[in-house]
Amino acid sequence: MVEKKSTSIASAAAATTDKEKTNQPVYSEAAVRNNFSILENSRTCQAAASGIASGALGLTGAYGFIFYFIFVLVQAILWEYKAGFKWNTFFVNRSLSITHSIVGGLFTYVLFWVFIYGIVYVY
Amino acid sequence: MTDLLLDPAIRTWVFIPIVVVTFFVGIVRHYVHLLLVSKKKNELEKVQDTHYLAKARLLRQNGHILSSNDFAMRKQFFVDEKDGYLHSRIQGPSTGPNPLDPAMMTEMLKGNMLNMVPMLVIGGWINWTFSGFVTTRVPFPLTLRFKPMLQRGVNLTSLNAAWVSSASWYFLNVFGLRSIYALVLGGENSAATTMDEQMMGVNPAVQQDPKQVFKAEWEALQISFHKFKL
Repeated sequence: MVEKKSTSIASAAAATTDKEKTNQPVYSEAAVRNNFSILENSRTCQAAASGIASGALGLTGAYGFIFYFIFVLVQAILWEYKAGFKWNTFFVNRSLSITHSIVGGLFTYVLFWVFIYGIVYVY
Repeated sequence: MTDLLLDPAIRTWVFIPIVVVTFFVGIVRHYVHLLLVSKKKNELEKVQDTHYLAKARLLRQNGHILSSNDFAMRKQFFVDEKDGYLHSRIQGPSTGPNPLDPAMMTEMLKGNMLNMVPMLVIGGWINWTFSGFVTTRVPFPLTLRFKPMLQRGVNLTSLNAAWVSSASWYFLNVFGLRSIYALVLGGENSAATTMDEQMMGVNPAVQQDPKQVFKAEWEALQISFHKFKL
């Protein structure tokens, strides 16, 4: 799933009008959408897996949330590694590696965390 | 580790079934949405308009490849006072798309209904069936203000607010499973869209679109300057 990320954005420089001297890159919309969906899917998987881990370990309160953000950073490092540390050839926004869908992932993380915590510790 | 001991029967018959029901109701809602959405019939005039607009924009972007005569000819086709296409569309019929258009209204209502109704129905059923006992414990500390919200049927005043009822477990499921739907149903699925997205997406974009777009295109063409690059 992550291999598809190698479709880079087709940055064809097209001069718009003769008034603008700089070249503006053109983005292939299919590639952009594909890249975002890859981020979303891997974010969901990370949230689920770390939620299960956190529930099994019995983390409570603030430790659980810190755990989630640690994994967000680990995920960001993995993404950067996969992009060959050239984030700008794949995404426009530089901070996207950390902030993409952080709240959506948080909801999924809390769900799995509560679920596994309940299964393991409450019952 | 924990101060309360819960019957394992709760786990088997309440905890897991709520997750399963929420998940499958979401999937069913997605497929029902697919069945109910009606195909949009595009009028020929609208399609024609979009194509002409695209042609005018391409002319502006790539006009430097054409010779000046060709460019002037194509430009005149669009902006001419008497026969130009853009001009006639600006002066032409002034009725924008009607926001009270019956087809669009039913579309919006259907989408809203389809999202709201199952959630309310299932929420109410769960509240009624699984009431009077505590379902699980959330791992994080909650203040006492959350108690009436999260412990619906349980009337113990000294119970720690972390012990929640089944209704709150249901809502936690609804929010948490939205990303999972994206994973399972693949991208554009209607099980994950929330209600306010639907309201916002339809209204602003449609109001006075055609006339403004034509006028903008006409002005842009007027000021575009042709410089031969070949």
